[in-house]
Amino acid sequence: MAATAHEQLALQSLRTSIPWTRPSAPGLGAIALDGLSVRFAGGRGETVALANVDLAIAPGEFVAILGPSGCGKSTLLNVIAGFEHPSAGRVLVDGAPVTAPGPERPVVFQQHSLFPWMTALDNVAFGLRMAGQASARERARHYLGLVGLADFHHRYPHELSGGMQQRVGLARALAVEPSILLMDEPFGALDAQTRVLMQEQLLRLWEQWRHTVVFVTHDIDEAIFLADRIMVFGLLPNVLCGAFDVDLPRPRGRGARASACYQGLYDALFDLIRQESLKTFGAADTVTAS
Amino acid sequence: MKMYRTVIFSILALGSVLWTSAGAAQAEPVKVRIGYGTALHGEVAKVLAKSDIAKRHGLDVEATFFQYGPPQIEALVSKSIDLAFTSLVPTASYLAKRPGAVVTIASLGAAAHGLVVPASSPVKTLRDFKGKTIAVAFGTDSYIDLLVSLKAVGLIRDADVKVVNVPPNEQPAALEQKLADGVVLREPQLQKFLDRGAREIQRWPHHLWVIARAEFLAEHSEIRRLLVDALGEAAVYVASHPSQAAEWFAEDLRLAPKLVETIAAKNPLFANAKTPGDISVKVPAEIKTFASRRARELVEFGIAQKPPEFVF
Amino acid sequence: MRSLVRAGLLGFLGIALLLAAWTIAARKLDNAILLPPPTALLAGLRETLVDGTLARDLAASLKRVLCGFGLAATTALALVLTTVSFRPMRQLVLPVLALLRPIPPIAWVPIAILWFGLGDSPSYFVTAVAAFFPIFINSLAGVGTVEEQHLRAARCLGAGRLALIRFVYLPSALPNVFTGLKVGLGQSWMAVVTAELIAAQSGLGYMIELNRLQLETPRVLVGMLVIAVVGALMTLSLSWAETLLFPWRQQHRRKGAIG
Repeated sequence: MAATAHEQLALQSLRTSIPWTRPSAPGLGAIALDGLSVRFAGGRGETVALANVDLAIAPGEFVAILGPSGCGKSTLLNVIAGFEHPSAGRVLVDGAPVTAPGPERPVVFQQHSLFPWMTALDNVAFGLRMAGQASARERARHYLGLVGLADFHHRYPHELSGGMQQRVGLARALAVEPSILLMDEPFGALDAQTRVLMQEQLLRLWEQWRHTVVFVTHDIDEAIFLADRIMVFGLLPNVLCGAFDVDLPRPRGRGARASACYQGLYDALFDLIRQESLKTFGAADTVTAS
Repeated sequence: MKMYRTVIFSILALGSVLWTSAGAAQAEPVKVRIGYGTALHGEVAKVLAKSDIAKRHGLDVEATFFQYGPPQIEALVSKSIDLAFTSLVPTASYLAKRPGAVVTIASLGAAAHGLVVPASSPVKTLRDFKGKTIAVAFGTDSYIDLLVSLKAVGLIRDADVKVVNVPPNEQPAALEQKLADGVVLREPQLQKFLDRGAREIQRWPHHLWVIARAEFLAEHSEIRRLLVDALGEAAVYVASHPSQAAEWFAEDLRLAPKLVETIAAKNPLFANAKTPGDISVKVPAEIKTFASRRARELVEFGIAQKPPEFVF
Repeated sequence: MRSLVRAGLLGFLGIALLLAAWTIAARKLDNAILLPPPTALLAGLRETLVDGTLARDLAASLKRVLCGFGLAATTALALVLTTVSFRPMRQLVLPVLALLRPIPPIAWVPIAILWFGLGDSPSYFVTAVAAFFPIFINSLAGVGTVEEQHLRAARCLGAGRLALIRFVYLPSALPNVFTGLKVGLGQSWMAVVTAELIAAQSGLGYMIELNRLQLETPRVLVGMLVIAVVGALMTLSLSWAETLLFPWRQQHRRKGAIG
């Protein structure tokens, strides 16, 4: 689907006024998980959120993390982001261990993460302000334009729809020009139509930029449409139980969903996830597949 | 035959007279709710409440202790009490708003109130209060007496002297904490602080009397006479049993009974009487004259629009 | 528009009925000390406005409230900041405050008089005490309401400790702080009147007490009316300011956002 006139204009203005550069030198944004385990002490003993994960993500790769509820996908993202610490193993970004959150790895959350006391523009400008950037608001205006919300710069989050809020969240993360973009089910709270539009917009932006993206989702369609590679996590134990390459050509449009490659991948993922999901359902509760 | 009729009628007539008079003697005692304060005639009130004098006059007395006059007036307004042991100014305040509401039925002599300063104070005369503060209970005779005296030495309140309202309960604290430069205290607190070393600048007599609700008096035909007789007898009791009366009253005041007894003895009602028979609670002419003067003073100091008319 | 007119008419009718009932009752009682008719109240209002005593007493009460309130606000907020920043401070301060809080402001009046004498000072103290606890408690709670999501978002965009306080903790807590200020102001207002009944020589409470001693019930009612109206105005204006300052807090009441 072609970019809207508005977005084309925004991209144009961006190209002319600010030199278009890759945010960081090529080759940055590599993520390595080495024997990562995360355990939480709970009321009834320990919960193992992740067990012994080994994972390598190349710079510029779009990786989707897929799995049933409770498989530790969000925990994985939190550890890479720096919100949580590993109980065992290491998280390395470009060879250096992750100790704290930072603007090299911003997160786009599912909902309610915009600062309600700031306008859309100030939200987007936040990271730039933290970095001490001059003319932060001007730069923020461009990023807001990239997601097609230039006209809404003065609005407060509660005056925006769910989809618009997520676009602002995305612009806010992009504004700090990160080498890694972390996304935690960012479109999960949106309706089906908006979700599809958001996926398309995300891809358009990413294809200009090509930063590393770690995208957590429970939606198989979404994972296949967006990612280069899909990592599936299982339940009990919460380990990496499958890695799938997505061989669909880019740029991907609506037509991609109809291809045989897509269908095959979908079925494989579906079966794997179902198999894992059943572990939390008793055998007698389920209808056996025909 | 005629004679028998006369005899029978006479017996019947006599019988009915005896019956009604006996009935009258055994009639329900009239309930009287009295209010009294810290002023010295509270002694008489306590005697009424504690002794059998009231009963013998066909009265069932219920006594309530108030801080001073103004709250008693409120109680009269709301008909919570029928009789109040107070003084002229609170009575006048009520009469200014509702003429004829209360009647003065008895006079119980006089105590005193005085303007005192701490022992260490530089103030020697009333004039020395220029630019200073005096604490007094508003709405009482001490208030008007103070204003009259200040005016007499050329001091105007607010302009020359700050006069602040401190009710009797707070007055000891005001003096002890030196919250004001001078405090007007009433007996027997006055004597207590003079004994402790406070210095008196000026003293005025505090006339004590008893008022009753006009409505209450109208409800019961003989009640005024019964009340005045009971009050008279109670006053005689105080004169003849000074220690007992002082003890009863001192309990409410939380003071030493001996102190109360000493001051009560100075009351002209008792001091001027050679024998108990000389004690009369009838309102004397001098008090009525003083009352007219007080009524004019109330207008002079802006408490009333026109002079209130006392009812005796 | 029609519903607005109707609401106005009904409100007006309600007040008119009240005044009618009041007039009838006053006439039947025929006791100006117990229940003066509304006309006496209005006359008293006019008189005290014209001779300036109402304005003077109102100004005196307001001055005491604002000073005491200001004192309470600065103390409470400073205490909240230290309590939040240093754990031992929290453990030191909270039990003491929990012990003092149930004491109603009026109970502080006698000791305030002893400590500060007659005049304005005890009123400042009592109004400050009245405002302090709502401000402190609400502000402290406000700090606790900060969303984890907002903290995380700020941190992963490069916010340091100071920036977190300034851009996340403070704005998150501000609506609760404001609520505390609103409640505190109302409490202060009530407390100042009770303090003035006993300790002061000016102000609305004093006006009521003085007129009570003179059995001037119409003016007592004037005092009460002014207290009620001013108290209501203070609350209303702060609530209105609240909707202006923190529009995002009303969002659950809004019909729906655009877009």
